[in-house]
Amino acid sequence: MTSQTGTPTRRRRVVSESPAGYWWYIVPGAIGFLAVVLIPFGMNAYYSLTTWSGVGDPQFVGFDNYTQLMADATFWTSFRNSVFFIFAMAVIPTAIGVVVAAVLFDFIAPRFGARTSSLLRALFYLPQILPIAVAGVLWKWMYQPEYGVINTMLSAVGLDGLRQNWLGDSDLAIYSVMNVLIWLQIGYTVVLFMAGLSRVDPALHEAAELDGAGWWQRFRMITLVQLRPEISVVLITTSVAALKVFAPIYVLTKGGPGTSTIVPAYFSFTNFFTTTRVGYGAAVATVLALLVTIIAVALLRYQTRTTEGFDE
Amino acid sequence: MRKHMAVLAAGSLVLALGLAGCASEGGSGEAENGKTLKVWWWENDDSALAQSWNKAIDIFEEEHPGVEVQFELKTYEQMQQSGQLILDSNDAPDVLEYLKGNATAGVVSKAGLLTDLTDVAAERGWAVDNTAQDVGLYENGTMGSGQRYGVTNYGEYVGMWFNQDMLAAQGAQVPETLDELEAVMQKFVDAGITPLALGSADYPGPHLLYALALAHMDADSLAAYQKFDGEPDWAAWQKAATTFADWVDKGYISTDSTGIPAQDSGNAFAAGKYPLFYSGTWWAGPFASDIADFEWDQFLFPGNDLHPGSGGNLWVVPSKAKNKELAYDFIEITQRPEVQNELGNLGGVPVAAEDGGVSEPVGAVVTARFNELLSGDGGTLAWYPDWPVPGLNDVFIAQTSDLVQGNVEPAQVASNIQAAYDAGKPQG
Repeated sequence: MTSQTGTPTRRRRVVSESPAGYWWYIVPGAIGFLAVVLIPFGMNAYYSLTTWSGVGDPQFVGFDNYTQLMADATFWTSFRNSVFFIFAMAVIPTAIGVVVAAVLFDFIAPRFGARTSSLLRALFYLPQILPIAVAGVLWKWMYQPEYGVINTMLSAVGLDGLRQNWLGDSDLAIYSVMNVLIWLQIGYTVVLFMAGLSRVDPALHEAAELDGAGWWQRFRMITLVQLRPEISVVLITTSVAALKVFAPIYVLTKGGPGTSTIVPAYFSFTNFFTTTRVGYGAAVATVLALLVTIIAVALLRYQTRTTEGFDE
Repeated sequence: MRKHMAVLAAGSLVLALGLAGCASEGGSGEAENGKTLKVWWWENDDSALAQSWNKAIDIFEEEHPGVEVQFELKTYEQMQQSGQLILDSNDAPDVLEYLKGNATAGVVSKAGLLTDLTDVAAERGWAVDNTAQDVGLYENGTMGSGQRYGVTNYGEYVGMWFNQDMLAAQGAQVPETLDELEAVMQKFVDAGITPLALGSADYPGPHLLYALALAHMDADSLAAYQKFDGEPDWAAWQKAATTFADWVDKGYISTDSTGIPAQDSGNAFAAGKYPLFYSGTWWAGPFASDIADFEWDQFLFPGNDLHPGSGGNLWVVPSKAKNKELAYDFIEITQRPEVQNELGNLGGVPVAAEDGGVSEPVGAVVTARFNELLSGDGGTLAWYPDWPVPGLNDVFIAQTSDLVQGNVEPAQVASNIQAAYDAGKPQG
């Protein structure tokens, strides 16, 4: 008996004394990281210093691509649009998601039962499951200016004046795309926030209620505060996703009309595959990768700090 | 936590090994010389091209007993985007359909990835001395002259499809000049009908702008634009943009067209919503099968001698192909009258059909007109506006949609096109 209980203790001590023994566990992951992330990133950084059409030998041109990039209006437009898409994919869905999750959790579940609230949660999540190509085609149909369902319905209720060329008007297209992105993202935020809410101690709400706090007060003082870790996680993941967004743009507008909905990832893609300016496309991709990394690290640090504060 | 890390790491390793496995797998299926023919194309099974090419495979198999044809269906996007990598790999097929143009066949021919077919064509007596086959010629990556790297089976051109019943209802005749065309369109506007079905979110916008520019071009300025043979006539583009904007103002073109892709505009024409639709011969087959309620036909852009159009995509033989002789045999078969006539009867535009070999009305109209364009009797093929420089298509779409919305002045359109053209054209 003594030896049995003694052994694990000794083992544990061995672990803490010599962590080097575990380094080899990293090897498989490191190989994967090298093969899938680091080497391609290095190659991309190298190509960004060349002019290359995709075949033949790349010609080294130093930082020419980057200098050109800084003066390229399309490049800056793509980042301006990224800011819009951070709102559409991170800020707005987070705000809506918190409210929807709280309503489902506080009102729907107690009154209509857990089943109804699960069903609604699943429905909100549906756009996330739907392949983006399918969702994009559906929205394109709905936005179609001549016989799309939105304009048809507006006419049917006598609101002809509100008919719009949703994706074809360069002033409006970005908002139409944002609308699709919000619709796509809400499910993700709702599911995470509902998981977060189930972690919150119900006694907090009960106590507040006894003290006469209304729903809005409880939402502000308890729900929002308790959900802080989830909100940070959601903001990090969705902001990064917004910076990298490609598929919805590709399906809906291909960056158009003009460059009104272009994003860095799509801009890089067209340089790689349409204009076959691989070096230039690689420069865009490198800048984007660096930017995403910086923002992600900054947000992660911020989150770690706030979560630590929360734990204390 | 560490356990999780280990699992994660192991997973990554499996993934990495899996990827490595995929990469090395390709080599194992290599064909023996002279025993198999690997053919790739991307046309759908129900298209005229695929049906006629399947017939070519049947003939090939009949004439080459003991040779196995390995066919793989690819997608257009796949070949456009990763064609270069495929041609550079050891998995390249023996013969494949490949995109004509400077940015595609031009780039890979320059990189030495395609077999030079000049001597093969001469030795085998292929009938490739017509302008439709210019799309297979490349010199230093520029299409139109030089060595032969590809052979096309079909042609295409852009014309004005029209609804005969709607024109008759307005008492309008087929226009023969630009003024007459504008008069016809005005009649429809007066009757509350938008005359031109246009998908400016796609290629139809640029094609129309090009037709309007071609009205002001001749053979020399066309060669300057398409083959970098001198300075292009940018004033022609400005005049085209001015007319285009004018047509929007007059209601010949709907401002909603910027949200409408090519397919939708063709569908709207087929549904009888618009009397006119300026687009290519690739609509002949679909219109023949979809339009039952009205009579339709096509005329060339009135007043123009130059019309957008060309030979189609190419059969090419990769440099790394393993059975080149078989590939040449196959290309030869696709040029035979029985295959070409079949293509015409299915609504395609053959480049080597027999006189009177195309009996279906839909094929007969477009084939006869295409042959006139080839011979120069009924005008000349002017290729497409986006061909000179990679990426120009996006610029054209952006410019035409901005024109329709009134976001940009015609002069600005011409200078934007020129800027993209100059940035992308070969140096020196």
